Amino acid sequence: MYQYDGYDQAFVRARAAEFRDQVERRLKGQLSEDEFKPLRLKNGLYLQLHAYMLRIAVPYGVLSADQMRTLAHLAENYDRGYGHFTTRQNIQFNWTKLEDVPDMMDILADAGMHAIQTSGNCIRNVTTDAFAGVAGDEEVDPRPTAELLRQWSSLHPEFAYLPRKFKIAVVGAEDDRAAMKFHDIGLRVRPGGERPNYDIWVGGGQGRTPRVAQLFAEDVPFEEMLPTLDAMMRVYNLAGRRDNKYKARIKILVAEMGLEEYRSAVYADRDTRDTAQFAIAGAEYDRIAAHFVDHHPVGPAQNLRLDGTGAFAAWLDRNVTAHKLDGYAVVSISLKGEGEIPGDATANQMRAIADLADRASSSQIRVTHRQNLVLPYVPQAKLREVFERLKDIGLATGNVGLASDIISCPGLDYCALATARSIPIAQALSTVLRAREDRAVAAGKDPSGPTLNISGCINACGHHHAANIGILGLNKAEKESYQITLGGRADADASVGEILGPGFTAEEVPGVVERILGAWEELRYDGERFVDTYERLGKAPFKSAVYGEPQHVAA
Amino acid sequence: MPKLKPKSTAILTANHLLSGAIVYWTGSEWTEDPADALRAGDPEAHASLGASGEAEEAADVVVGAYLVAVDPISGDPLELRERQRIAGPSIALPVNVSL
Repeated sequence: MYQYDGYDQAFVRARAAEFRDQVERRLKGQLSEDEFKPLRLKNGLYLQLHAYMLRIAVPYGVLSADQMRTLAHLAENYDRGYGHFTTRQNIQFNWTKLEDVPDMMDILADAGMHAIQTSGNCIRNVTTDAFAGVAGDEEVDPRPTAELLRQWSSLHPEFAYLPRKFKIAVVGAEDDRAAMKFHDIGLRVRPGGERPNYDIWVGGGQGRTPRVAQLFAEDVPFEEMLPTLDAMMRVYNLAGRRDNKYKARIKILVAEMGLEEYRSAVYADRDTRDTAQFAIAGAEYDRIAAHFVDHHPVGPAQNLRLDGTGAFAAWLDRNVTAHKLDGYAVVSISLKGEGEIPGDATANQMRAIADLADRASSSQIRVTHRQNLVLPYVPQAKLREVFERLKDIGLATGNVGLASDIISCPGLDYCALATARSIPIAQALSTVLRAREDRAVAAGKDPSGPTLNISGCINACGHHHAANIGILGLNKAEKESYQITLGGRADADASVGEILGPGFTAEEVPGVVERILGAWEELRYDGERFVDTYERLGKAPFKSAVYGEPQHVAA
Repeated sequence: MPKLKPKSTAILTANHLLSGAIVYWTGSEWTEDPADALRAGDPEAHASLGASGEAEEAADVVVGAYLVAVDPISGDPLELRERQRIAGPSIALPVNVSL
């Protein structure tokens, strides 16, 4: 993985020292809250419903074992013993004290970490495929591009006050495991000559106006990628709306201008600029890429026959993925055990995972945008040992990619913006769905189901628009009400879910989801995925299953 | 926050600057117990409570001070968000057991 050089290290230390000074001035009354708030937000420090929340960047979801230990240390000594992994592949601590944050930043800087640009109207943490560099189906490793973009976008003076936040994702395989098309800008890295080429997508996003990104340009050579992105940002920065924050994302600008006009404006801007500032990008890309030639232990060079029984078999089936190297496997650690809080891990769990990564994954860990963790370099011969240890620490649930692998935002249990709770809904659903999945496995059937995501407000941090079954928590006359959407998907054929009908109480949601799944099981062709059944039949049969209306659709 | 009705019963809440903890104004100091919060039941009292919030913010004791409408008898907030804020997370928080 990428290792900080002296410049990077000095940069994060200087930033930590700067924030310490800002906090001190705030506490002495030299800065008012109005002056301090944008400064703390630029360092990931929010004031949430109950307390300050610190969001720490995990650039493109890549963590070393030692960095995970640092997070465990912070959880234990500066928070309440746990942290929450997010859909931007970051981690947040929910009970931070302002007076502790300068020390936390110093500790992070020592570990080559920071909280820069995890909030505010700037380019946020660049995300990627959690299987980057190890996926069997990968064409180009997206991590060097993600790191290059991190360096380009960090404290970029021109893009520090954008109309609104800005999210970029990079993928390098056909199977999109980063919801790339739901980003302001998405990059698909493709094989090029000496360096890669890029398909550039623009204008995706969720929130109250969900949009799937449109293809801006195909097969852009490496040398033109940064100048193009720079111009895309500049046009957005100048023309994006600042009068209404709900219309300030680039998706609205692209929709209002039209893709053609936006593209023309971008090229007109790009072609008038001196590209000298990007002359070093190629050499820097090569320097970065050298860090990602992973030095994994030599051999076991042959693939083993992977089988087992019971929970181990289910875990192998669901949580273990093909590696690009023979003899290795990619292990996903589910943070979605039955009744658990999606994305949460305790300090001791983090530490145990760090130890496992040292023993069996070349000291590497990833955070996924579905709020799970990954051990990317597990020798196949160690899978049983890894499973047993994960079982000891309560993280061996074999449900990655199943319906019970729920994305959930913190909702009204933590978030100041939320309109309803998300976590209790996820917990109740996980109980119902795990039972259903266990029954399918026991009957020798495929337990696969739809993706299921939950957001506690229209901002859609829980990616409900992009789920096969989405749940959105709203406030109706000071009571929680949950709206269901169907047919959303975050893969290469991304689409936005459609609202099924009137909302439900929290207590009704698990039964409603069961009725939707029951209808799918009745209507599906053998082996047909939920999204395909939905595309074939539309929402009518699901609506009648849920609301009891007459069914007019022939199955 | 929605506007208070003239006859609403309201209390003043904020977050403590240093710790971030939720606090309520008793009329002379901040407390973490909402039962001890001073209640205001008319526009004049609302304004006075609001002024206390502004003064305490200016003195850098608290941040984000605002008035919350509560039930005049039980003292429970009328809004879902405020009920949730007062009660704390409704879920059992993860416990960091040794492994």
